[in-house]
Amino acid sequence: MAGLQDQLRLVPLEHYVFLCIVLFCIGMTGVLLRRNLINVFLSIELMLNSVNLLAVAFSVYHNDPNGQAFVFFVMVVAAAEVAVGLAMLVMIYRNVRTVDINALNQLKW
Amino acid sequence: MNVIILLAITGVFSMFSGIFKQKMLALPVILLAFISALVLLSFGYLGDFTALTNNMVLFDDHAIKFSMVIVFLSIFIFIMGQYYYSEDIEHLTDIFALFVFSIVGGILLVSFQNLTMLFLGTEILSIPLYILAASNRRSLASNEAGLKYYLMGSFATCFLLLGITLIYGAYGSFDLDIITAAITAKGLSSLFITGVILILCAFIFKLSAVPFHFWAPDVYHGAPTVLTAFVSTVVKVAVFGALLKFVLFIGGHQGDKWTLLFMLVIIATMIFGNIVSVRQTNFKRLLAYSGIANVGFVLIALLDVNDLTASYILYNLLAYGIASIMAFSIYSTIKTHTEIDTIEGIAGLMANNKLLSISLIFAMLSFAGIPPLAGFFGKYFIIVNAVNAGYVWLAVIAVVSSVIAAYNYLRVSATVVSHSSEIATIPISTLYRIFLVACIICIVLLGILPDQVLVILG
Repeated sequence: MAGLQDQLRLVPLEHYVFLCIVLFCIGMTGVLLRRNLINVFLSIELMLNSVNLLAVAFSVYHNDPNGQAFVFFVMVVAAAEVAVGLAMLVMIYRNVRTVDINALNQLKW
Repeated sequence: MNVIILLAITGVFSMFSGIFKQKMLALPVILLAFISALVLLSFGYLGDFTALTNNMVLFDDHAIKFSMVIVFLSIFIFIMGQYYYSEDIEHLTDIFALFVFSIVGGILLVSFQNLTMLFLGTEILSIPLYILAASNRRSLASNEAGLKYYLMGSFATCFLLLGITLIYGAYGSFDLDIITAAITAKGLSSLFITGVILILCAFIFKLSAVPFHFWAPDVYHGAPTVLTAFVSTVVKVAVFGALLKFVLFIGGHQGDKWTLLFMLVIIATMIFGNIVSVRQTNFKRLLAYSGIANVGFVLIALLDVNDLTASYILYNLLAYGIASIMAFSIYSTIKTHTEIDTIEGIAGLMANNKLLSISLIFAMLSFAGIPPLAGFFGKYFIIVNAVNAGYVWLAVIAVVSSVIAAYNYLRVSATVVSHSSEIATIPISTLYRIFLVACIICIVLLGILPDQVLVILG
């Protein structure tokens, strides 16, 4: 276990942080720009998982297992969230026969 | 902690009562459980779970007060729900169970003592709401509301998570006490500041304050009316509870770094909410924008946190919540029976529906802040507090924007009593009459006895 931690520490912490922020921003751009609902869901997953990676990296550098426990919480919640999201996607597909986000424009101010 | 266990079991019971074809049992048991939860909270029978919870959940005074208001308002929501869902829909018990689970999440949220619980509480509060917003499966508007709520909610959750992780990265712990100790030892780190800003953004998202408000009117409009009432009252109480705790936590370490951020949000929210609501024709949307404006108003109390802040916030949310639940339930009653959902449409409601009209006028006058009613003191305490703290110009903006808001609400009241047209008598049940009268009594009592209520809440 200690060997693994040393190997993970070969990469400086800044690099992990940089990678995670880049992944997070890619996910954020995806949510904002993509029009296909499945792509939007994938982008949200990407954002969540970039945070998970960051938590694990911090956990290794702080020598503290709480960060890894936190990742499990995030995974469980993300699974529940995606289950709800996909159910909603199927329901919308049945009603409008498309997964394009622009098909939903009933509500406007 | 007892309360969380009791309510979670109630939720599971409600689900099973649907499976075993005992639909009639669900609502009485839920109401009973909520009333006993209220009793447990007000007498402080909470049990000692500190060894079990590992200091992740803390049931201090703050959590008890906010939980009391959450549970109290939920009772109104369930009675309204019973009336709203009176036609025999297939998943009634599941819908009630989802409401109960969401309330459990709200109670967890106001009692967090560890950033992990902040995240879990938000999610347990939100995920049932996504399902409930979309629960009217065949209505496209409801589908759209559910999806928008889901996308915006998960997006905000990502920011919350990133913020929590950055704070963890800065000090190596999720526990508020340990983080506080680490800050005193090591000083503020830039990771911590970034994390706090991200978490505040997520809170603003959940509260639907400007600039992250754009989902709210659509979701409020499309979702089933009970859910709209729930989101704009109970959920707001829970999120404000967490936000107040979070502000107290960061307050010790910052001086007034976040004050400017808060002030911009407050001014934008109040002005936007009130001005846009002037041009609304749909009644439900008007209520949605009034909810946004009220969030801006309550946020003023967070600028100067003192011992009484929690009670001011709770008083305002309680006063706003009861009037809001009443207005939403009247809207849904009129909508179900006559298909009317515009403000012009309810002209002449007074002619044949005395109780409905009088209740609606009471709600509107309370929103507008006419003195003997609850809404007046809700605004009064917050404004006086702001003036005492030296935010005079902010108080002026608040007063001006509530005058604009009063125009809106008086416009509705005037429409109700106008003689230009007539609406036929809408049949309402005895239970619903009692519910309306109870709401009016609550609004008047809160307005007549503000000091006593503040003592209970403070």
